[in-house]
Formats: sequence, C-alpha cells, structure tokens
Amino acid sequence: MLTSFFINYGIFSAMLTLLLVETGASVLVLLNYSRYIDRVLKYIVPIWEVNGTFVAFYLVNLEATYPYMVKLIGTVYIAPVLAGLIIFMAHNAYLAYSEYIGKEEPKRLYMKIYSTSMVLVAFIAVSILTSAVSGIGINQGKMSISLLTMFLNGYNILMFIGIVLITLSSTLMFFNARISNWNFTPLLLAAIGIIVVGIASLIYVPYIAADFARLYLYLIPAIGLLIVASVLNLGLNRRFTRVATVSFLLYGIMYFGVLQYPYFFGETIDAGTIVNSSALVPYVNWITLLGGIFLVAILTVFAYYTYLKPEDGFRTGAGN
Amino acid sequence: MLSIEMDRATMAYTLAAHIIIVSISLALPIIMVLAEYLGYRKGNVYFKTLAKRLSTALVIFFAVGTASGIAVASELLVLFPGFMSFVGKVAILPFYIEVFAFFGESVLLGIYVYSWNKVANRKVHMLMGALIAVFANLSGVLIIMINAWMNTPNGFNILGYEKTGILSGVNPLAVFLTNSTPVEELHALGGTLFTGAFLMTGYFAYRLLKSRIDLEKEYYKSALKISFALTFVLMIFVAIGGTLSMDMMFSYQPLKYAVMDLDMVPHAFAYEMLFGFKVPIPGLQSILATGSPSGIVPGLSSYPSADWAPLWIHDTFDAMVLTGTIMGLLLLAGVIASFIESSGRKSKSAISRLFMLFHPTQSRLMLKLLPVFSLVALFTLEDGWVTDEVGRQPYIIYNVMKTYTAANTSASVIPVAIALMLFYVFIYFFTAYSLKRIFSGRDLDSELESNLEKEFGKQRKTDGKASPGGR
Repeated sequence: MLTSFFINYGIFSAMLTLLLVETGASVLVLLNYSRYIDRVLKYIVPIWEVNGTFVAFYLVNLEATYPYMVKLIGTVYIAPVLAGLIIFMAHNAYLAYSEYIGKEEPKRLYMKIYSTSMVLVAFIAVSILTSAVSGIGINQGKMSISLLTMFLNGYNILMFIGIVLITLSSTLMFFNARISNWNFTPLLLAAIGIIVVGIASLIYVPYIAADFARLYLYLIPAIGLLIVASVLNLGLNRRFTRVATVSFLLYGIMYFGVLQYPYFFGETIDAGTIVNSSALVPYVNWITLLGGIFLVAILTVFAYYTYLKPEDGFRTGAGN
Repeated sequence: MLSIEMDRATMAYTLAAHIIIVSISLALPIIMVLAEYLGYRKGNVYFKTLAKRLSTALVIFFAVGTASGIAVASELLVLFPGFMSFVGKVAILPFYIEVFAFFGESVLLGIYVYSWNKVANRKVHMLMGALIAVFANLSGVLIIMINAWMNTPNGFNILGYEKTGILSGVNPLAVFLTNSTPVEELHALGGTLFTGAFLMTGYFAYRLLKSRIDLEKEYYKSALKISFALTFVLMIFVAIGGTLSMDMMFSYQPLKYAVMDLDMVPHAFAYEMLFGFKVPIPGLQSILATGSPSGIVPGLSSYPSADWAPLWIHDTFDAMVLTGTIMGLLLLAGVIASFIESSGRKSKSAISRLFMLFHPTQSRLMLKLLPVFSLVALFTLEDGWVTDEVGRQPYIIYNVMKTYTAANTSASVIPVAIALMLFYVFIYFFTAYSLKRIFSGRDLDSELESNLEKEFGKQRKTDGKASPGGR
C-alpha cells in the first residue's frame, strides 16, 4: 500500500511541479512580455507537450491505484475538472498558435491568453489538491461538493497565496529574472510564502495531518529553498540553481503526501481500504518502473539535444 | 435522467471531435517521415520541404490533440466513473502503457522539430520521425484494445460477476487479446489512418488544383504521390478488416450483428438488407455470413427488446459499407491509371483513356474528386464509429455493464458540459484558421526557391571537389 500511495503521489508531485514552473514562466510573461518572452519560450517550447502528458500519466495511475475512489473523485470534481479542461485546451492551443504565427501582434495576444489560462489551470489544480488533502467543502455521503467552499475556504486561500509566492520566487531563480532591483527579492518572496503555507498547515492541522510530528518535515524543503534563495547572488552555476529550485518544489509538494499518509479528504478515507488489491497491481508497478526508465532515457536524449548541444540553429527547424 | 444523457452527449461529442484530430495525427507523421526519407534518399527538395512543413502542422495538431486527448481521459473519469472504476480493476494496462507511448511521441516530437538542424546524422533524425509515427500508432493500438474489450470483455469471471456483482478471477493480461482485438485493430486503426491519409490527399489535391506556379505544382504533386499511395494501401487493410469484423460479430456479438443487418428473426436463406430494402438475391446474407445459402443468421427476436440497440444503426452501417466501397473503387481506378501511365500505354484504348480520368496527379477531374471524397472518408469514419458504439448500447461493456449504471448522475455536469462542447467548436475553427494563417504567412514558393538554391549550391560545391563517385 505504501508503495502504491507514494508512486501515485510522486507522479502527482512531478506533474504539479512541472505545471508550477510553467505557471511561473507564464507569470513572467504577464508581468513583462518584452523582457521575458525569449527566455521563457526557450524553456517552455520544447517541454510543454511533456508537461501535458504528465496529466494523462497521473490520471491513469490514479485509476489504476484507487479504482474504488474513482466514482467519488469523478462525481465530486466533475465541474472543476471540466472547467479546467476547457482552459487547458486553450492553453495548449494558444501556445502552439503563437509558436508559429509570424507576426508580433497576435503572438503577444496569444501568449497572454496562454499565460492567463496557465495561471487558471494552476489555481484549479492547487484547489483540487488542497481539497483532496483537507476534504473541506466535500459531502461524501451525498457525493457532492460546494464549489464556493472548496475555492474560498481559508486553507485553500492561504495555500494558494503561499504557493503563488513560493512559485514566483522559484521562477525568478529558475529563469534568472528580476522584478525589482533588490537582490534578495526571491528570498523575501520564498520566506513569506513558506511562512503562509506553514501557518495554513498549523491552523488546519486537524484536517490535513495524520500525525502532528510530521509537520516538522516541512522544514526540509522550506530551508532548502531558503538556502538556494540566499546564496543566489554568490554566482552559483545556473544549472545547479535550476535543479535545486525544482527539486525543493518537488519535495515541497511531496511533503503533503507524507503529511496526510495514509488518509485522503481530511482523514476520512484510509488509502489502505481503497487501494487496488487486484492481480493488476504487480503489473502496474512493473510498467511504472520500466516506463519510468524509458521516460528518463528519452528525456536524457531530449535534454542533450535541446539544452546541451550548441545553440546554432536553435528553433530553426520548424519555424523557418 | 438528463444528466446521464448529458454525459453521453458530451462524451460522444468530444470523441467525435477528437477522432478527426487523431486520424490526421496518426497519418501525418507517416507521410512526414516518408517525405524526409525520400527527400534525402533522392536528394529531392520537394520532399525535404514537405517533411519540414508537415512537422509544423504536426506540432499544432499534436498540441490540440494532446489537450483533446486529456479531455477524453478526464471525461471518462468524471462522466463515466463507474466504467473507469471497473476498468481500473480489470483492464487498465493498455491505458497505462499508452501513457508511455504518448510520452515517447511528445518527447521525440520535441527533439525532431526543435533540433532539426542539430541532429547532424539525417538517419538518426529520420529514425526519430519513424519512432514518432510508431508511438503515435501504438497509442491507437492500445486504445483500440480497450474498445475491443468493451465489445468482447474477458479477463475476469463474467458469469460470476453477472450473478453476484463480485469481481473475481482477474487476469490483467487478457485485455490485450480479446476475441475482437485483431479485427478491430485492423478495421478501426486502419480506418482512422486511412481517413487521416485521405484528408491529406484531399488537401494536397485541392492545392495542386489551385496552384499556378510550377514549383508549387511539383511540390503538391510530390506530396500527393506519397499520401495517395498510403491511402490506397490502407484502404486494403480497412476492407479486409471490415469483412472480418462482420464474421467476428456473427460469432461473438450476434445481437449487434442482427441489428446491423436488420434481421428480425433467426433464419436461413437470409436476404441481404440495404437501407431496409431486400437485395433481390436469395440467401446472399447467409452466404456472406456463413458461406452457405442455408446458413442461419441470428435474429432480434432471440433477445429481449430492452437489450436491442437503436435499429437506425442498420442504416449507418449500410452507409459506411456503401461509401467505403465507392472510395475503394475510386482509389483503385487511380492506382490503375498510375500503372497505365507508367507503362506508357495511356492513349491506346478507350478503357485506358477512361482510367486516365482518375489519374491522381494528372486528371483535373480526380483532383476535384479527391477533396470531396476525403470529406466522405471523414463522414465514413464518424459513421463507422457511431455504428460500433451505438451498436453496443445499452451496454458500455457488452453484456456486463449498462451505460446508465456507469454514468455520473451529478446535475452539475450540464452547464460545464455545454461550455465544453461550445469551446470545442471554437477551438477547432480557430485551429483551422491559425493553420491557414501560419501557412499563408510562410510563402511556399519562396521557401522552395530558397531550398533549391541551397541544394544546388551544395551540389556545385560537392561536384567541385570532384569526388570519385560524384553525387
């Protein structure tokens, strides 16, 4: 059960990390299009298809891991999921249009539509995460949800503010971007974000934590991110900064899995009682392992050609 | 209930829209990699330019297709949670492997397109293109496995489940090979690829017809040669698959067979029915189904009427067979004309001249017919899909789970589902508009001239070195 739980949560964390980095990039586009568009596109353009594929990966793994919970999830989250899908389709389509449209004006508009939709998708994804962790707004007996409560409860609002600040800080570090002349802006944003998420976790601890002692695990990604933000100005290798930032974001999201294990929806559903126990499970685990190796292998080839090979001729393939 | 009907309408609508993109996305990488291969094998600038331009189109189709595919995956979860819950316990493996095929396609597409000039070895680049086509079609193979399982379920104790509702005897690997899997793969995957290839054939034919510049004409002729050949080859697979599908249904889905052929009672010496009318050849259907005029075909009266699919699928089935046959004959005429032309006998007889009217690149009549029939191919694909899916109703998993028991009964589906459907219309039109705008902004004539200049420049340079074999 432990393996299935953390494989599923690991995939979710990877998916949300990728979405958050892309969201950060989108925020930069919205803040200052002219200044950041090239830097952001250089990151997003080759990778965004992979980010989308992670959503499908997570969904299928969820269905394989918790088939007994599919009915509850499907029924409760139908409205936010379908709304998220509409926005996600706009996100994909407008990025693809903007990539090849030659003229500057529609390109700017399309990128802004893409960026706005990315932020909205992230908001829905984070709201579903906090709702699945806390169970706030969900009536399991009636298999229904109050959307107003789901989106506008204190935990979700605090978490969203905290995650936005942490993501923005990580984005500034990841893209080597600046939104003020002060060198320690990323550190300040990360610190405030971490404190807000920490306060939310403390206030709502009865809803989210199976064991109070696990709250301390939050300190690992929190301190890690603060260290990266603090030493940012020491001329660290850019690649190291990127890897460290993304790693701590990933650990940060994984932390919620550790915090609530083995429960969902505010300690009302024990994962052990709903995890798939059919003969499928060993096959699913093997496919995850082999598929994971395959994924790492092709992403290594991808990283070699996209980021390590000389920049000459970069993006000349399709556009010209 | 309205919400269940809305679930069905939304799913049907999304899938109907999704398979258009899928058909193109499956065929396009095959044509793209064939063009690249021919371009570098023959040093042909038209093929090289075609491969590069198609890669642009593929990214856009992939972008919309990915989003649409994720929409389908998510809708299955939220609109039919009962179904996905069951699949999750018995038959999820094809879906799960498909995710990695999807990853393979998306990552390799990124390298193929964005590192076009970085991959110095063209064979490696072509291999990536070929793998994109393989992974794309592997996704199709795996998804069709699930559909075949829905038609002829296996991998668990079906009788026990029907009696007690308790799932037992799960064999997770059985889903990969059900009674209908091989023929469905041949017919459904073949049909989807065929439609994609035909749509591209229609597009190239239309552009060739409209071109006034010689360079562009040669370009579209080159493109048409590849796509037409591919369409014809696929048509053979679809036809064989279609015939075998009827045999499979006769054996394993007799009720669906009876609805499709509108057989009210089981009987021997059965007439073939065409749009509700008898074809006046006694025993034709019996011969086609069993090989003998005295063979008994299944009839609807053997089953409770509550289990019958709507009888109008007899008409959609006949429409599919009719349009498929006409398209097959048209493509065959085009192939014969190409053979006549290549053998140099084109004006010797009336029959030769008649066939030359259907030459795929030289006849203006054929250049007008191909775009029209590419839309007929699309209609046939949708029509065939409706026949297959509605023909299984009222079951979502044949004889195991009824559609209404699998559906989401939440009323909140209605407004969002309507919004989703409207958005689909918008996004498809906007994609078509964007593709038009993108390609009209990239002047083909100038691109071809520039590529020709590069190629000839390279050739002069190579010749200047006076290598022993030359080029």
